[in-house]
Amino acid sequence: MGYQSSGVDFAFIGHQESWQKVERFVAITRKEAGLVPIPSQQTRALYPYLPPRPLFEFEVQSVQGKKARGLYIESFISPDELDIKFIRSNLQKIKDACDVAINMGIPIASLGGLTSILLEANGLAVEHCGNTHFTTGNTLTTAFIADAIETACRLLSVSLFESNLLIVGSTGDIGSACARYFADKVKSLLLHARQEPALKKQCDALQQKGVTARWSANINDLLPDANIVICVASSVLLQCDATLLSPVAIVCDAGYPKNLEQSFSGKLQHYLQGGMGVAAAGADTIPNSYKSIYEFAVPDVAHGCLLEAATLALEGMATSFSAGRGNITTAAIDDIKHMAARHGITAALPFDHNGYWGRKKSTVHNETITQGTGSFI
Amino acid sequence: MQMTEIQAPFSVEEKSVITDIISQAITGEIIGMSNFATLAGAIYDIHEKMEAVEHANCERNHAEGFINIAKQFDLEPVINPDGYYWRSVRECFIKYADQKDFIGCLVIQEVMLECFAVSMYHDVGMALDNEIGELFRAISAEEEEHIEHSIDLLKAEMENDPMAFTEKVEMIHKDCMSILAEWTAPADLKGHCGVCKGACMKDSLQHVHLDVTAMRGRAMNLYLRTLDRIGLPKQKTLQWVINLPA
Repeated sequence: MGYQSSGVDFAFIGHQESWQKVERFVAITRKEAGLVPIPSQQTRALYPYLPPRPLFEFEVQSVQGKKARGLYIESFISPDELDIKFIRSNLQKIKDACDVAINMGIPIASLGGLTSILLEANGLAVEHCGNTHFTTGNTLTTAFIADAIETACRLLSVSLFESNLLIVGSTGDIGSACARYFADKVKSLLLHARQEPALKKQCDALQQKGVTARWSANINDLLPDANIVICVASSVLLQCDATLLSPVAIVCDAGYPKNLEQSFSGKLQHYLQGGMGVAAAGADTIPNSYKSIYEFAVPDVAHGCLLEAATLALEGMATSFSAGRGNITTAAIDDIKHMAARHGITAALPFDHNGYWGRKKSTVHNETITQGTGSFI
Repeated sequence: MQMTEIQAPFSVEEKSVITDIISQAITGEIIGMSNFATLAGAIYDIHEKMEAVEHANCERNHAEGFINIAKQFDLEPVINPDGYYWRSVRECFIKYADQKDFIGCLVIQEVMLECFAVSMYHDVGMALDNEIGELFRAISAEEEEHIEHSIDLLKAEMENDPMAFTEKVEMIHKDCMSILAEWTAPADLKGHCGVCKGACMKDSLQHVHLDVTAMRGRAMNLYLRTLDRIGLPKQKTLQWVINLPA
């Protein structure tokens, strides 16, 4: 089979976390054609049947003057089918989306959100196919989560070293990377996941290295002691007793959907969306109506996994930088972070659904909340 | 989709909905037969002309197959090419045939109509674990060959003049797919189809474990994938489908 060269440097394969965005993008598309919106249930009925396809292009600019041309490929996984029980049909959709990148001969493709399971799950490794190298993008995502937590602590005068860090989803790829990264930076690690044997094994391994760590498969056992929470598996935290968590805890929502803020009914004072980054030299979308599907509460931000692919493209490194589960080392986090920084790509400052953390938090600690110069998305 | 056990003797509800399904299939095949016959007269290439006659005969055989299976199961289908949706599809085809637009006719019959036939026949075939289901599955496979027949030809058209071809297919899509979208919408957007015996069969499909929303979705999926294979721009074709009546 021959693979076309499309002139695209990298691709980002993604999915939607909420029907709200899907319905908005369908409404915008129809409005442009002079058509009235269709009922919500009609959109929801059609959406899961749409085959994967590119929706819009973007150009990430490096502070060194280089540019990387990217393509967003939507997998059309239904927002209410992100659960493990839909894994079979979702894997097929992800593979089909990967085929789009492969057939276009795109050198690097990042698998965002749920789609990373294709590279994380054992026996499903497709790190390289045709001219395309796949990466989960989880290494730069982890770096951005870590940076955002450190910035949040600085802004709030919270001592990281004196904090108990709860990682929800600690045995996953990003969760375990966060555990390794923060192991010697916090007072103790509180580890939570669904599978007890894996959790115990992880905790034992950390304890053998002298790390203070505790685990439980029951989130409510750990919440009362947590000062900082990194949540990579949102659906688990939704089942917790929210009153057990201190309202002043720093909560980094790095899972999907990023809906912890709503589920805590506004009780969280220091909630932030984690794993997001910005490109200082700018990143622009090729204008079309589909870009509305990739918009956030603050301008100019993008997922760490997307920016990992952009970084690799700018570095001319067509490689499967992040693959498998539990392989992300602290050295790899530092490497990709430095590579990204060379091009002006850094972690986004803490923000929530209302925008960047408020003036109050920033001015108290004399740190200015301004970021991003481009018009990304 | 898993095959379900719906076997004779049918319940009243099953009999009614299966009759309506067969009625739609026969009527659709008659329309297909007529379209290919018209196409044979609209083209100059002798090989394509012969192929069109062959395809017309193939659709005739499908119609006969459905008529015979209906008899075998003591069902009395309605055959009405003048029903609103099928008549509209036929008129749409004739519009392009009158212009001797071979490519336009091919897009309507072998891409749009066949994608719906292949997908929906397959769904019915998987829902009925009996001879009727077997027939639907077999005809679905045969109709798939019609799609294959057109792909290379249409790909060449696309490569020859991408912009003009894309505009042309968009126009045909608006003409023809809008009718199919209305026909398969959950609610009857244009009144009774004239083919179902009583009330709209879409409300009764659950009696044979089918659902019009899923059937429509799968048909749209095959349609989009077929357009992808022809090389039409994926962003545009998505827009076309989103903009269909729902």
